[in-house]
Amino acid sequence: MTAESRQGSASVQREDCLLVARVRDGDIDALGELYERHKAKVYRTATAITHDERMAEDVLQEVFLRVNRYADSFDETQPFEPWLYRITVNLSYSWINKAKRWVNFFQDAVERLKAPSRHDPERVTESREQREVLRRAIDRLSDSHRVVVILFYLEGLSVSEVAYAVGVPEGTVKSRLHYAREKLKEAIAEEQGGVLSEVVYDFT
Amino acid sequence: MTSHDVPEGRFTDLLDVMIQWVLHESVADAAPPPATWERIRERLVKRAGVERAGWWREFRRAVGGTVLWLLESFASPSVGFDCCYDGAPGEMRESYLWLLVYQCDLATFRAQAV
Repeated sequence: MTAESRQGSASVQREDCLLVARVRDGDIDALGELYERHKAKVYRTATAITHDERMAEDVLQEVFLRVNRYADSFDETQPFEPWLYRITVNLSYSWINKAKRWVNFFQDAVERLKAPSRHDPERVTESREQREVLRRAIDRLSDSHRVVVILFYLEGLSVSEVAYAVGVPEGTVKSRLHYAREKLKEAIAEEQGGVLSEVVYDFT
Repeated sequence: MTSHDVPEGRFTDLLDVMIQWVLHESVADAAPPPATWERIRERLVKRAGVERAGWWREFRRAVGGTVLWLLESFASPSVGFDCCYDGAPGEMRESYLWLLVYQCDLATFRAQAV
């Protein structure tokens, strides 16, 4: 991170804190500003965790209702985003747990119908197939591992920020990341014969 | 989606880059519906209305209790207002007067107190 981007990030954090202070005083427009600043991240994270855009919208609404309700308990000495991620993760967890029985049943059925055959004449290129294998492997991770992977790789949080968002020690985050990485590596090796190197030219 | 959409430089290992890529790709088109903020605002306004109604219900009960206590204290000065106040009757009267002084909606207060 450059000195300039660090300064920018500190200024964003200060502005967030000022907005939360206004929310605390009952200013709905300040909540609207916070919403505009962070809606994409919250929605993206919720979508990645729940795999359901309608559910993600519900999570997005509920996150900002909670920011409004619990603005008093926000610690102004801490950055706002990890707190926001923490609320997002908790709500996404409870939504997927509520819907899990039904979602699993239908998702499995849909996945079976959707899964491309290796012998399909219109099959996608090898690299796209590898990405699909990886995507499915990420989906198969347990929720606790998947959430850590999403926050670390998709949202770019540091290990300590992930630990705060998920509410576990940093060591647990590291071990979950390690475990998830090993599982994903195995999945690619098993399904693709371990030809990871072929993917390089596709996105570098 | 292109490789330009994925933040660069954080990962050098191929597997890490792939994981990052796949996750970004899976939510590349995810954007919150435009009316979401309006729905949040509506829910906040509705909730504030419910909370205000609850506050007034409590306020009416408090006023009703205070008036009852005053009426009883005229008839029998030893009666305490033990449901929400355990101070001496003199202190209670003082608190009641301060309540009147600081009440922001005197018209409603009077309507409830009568």
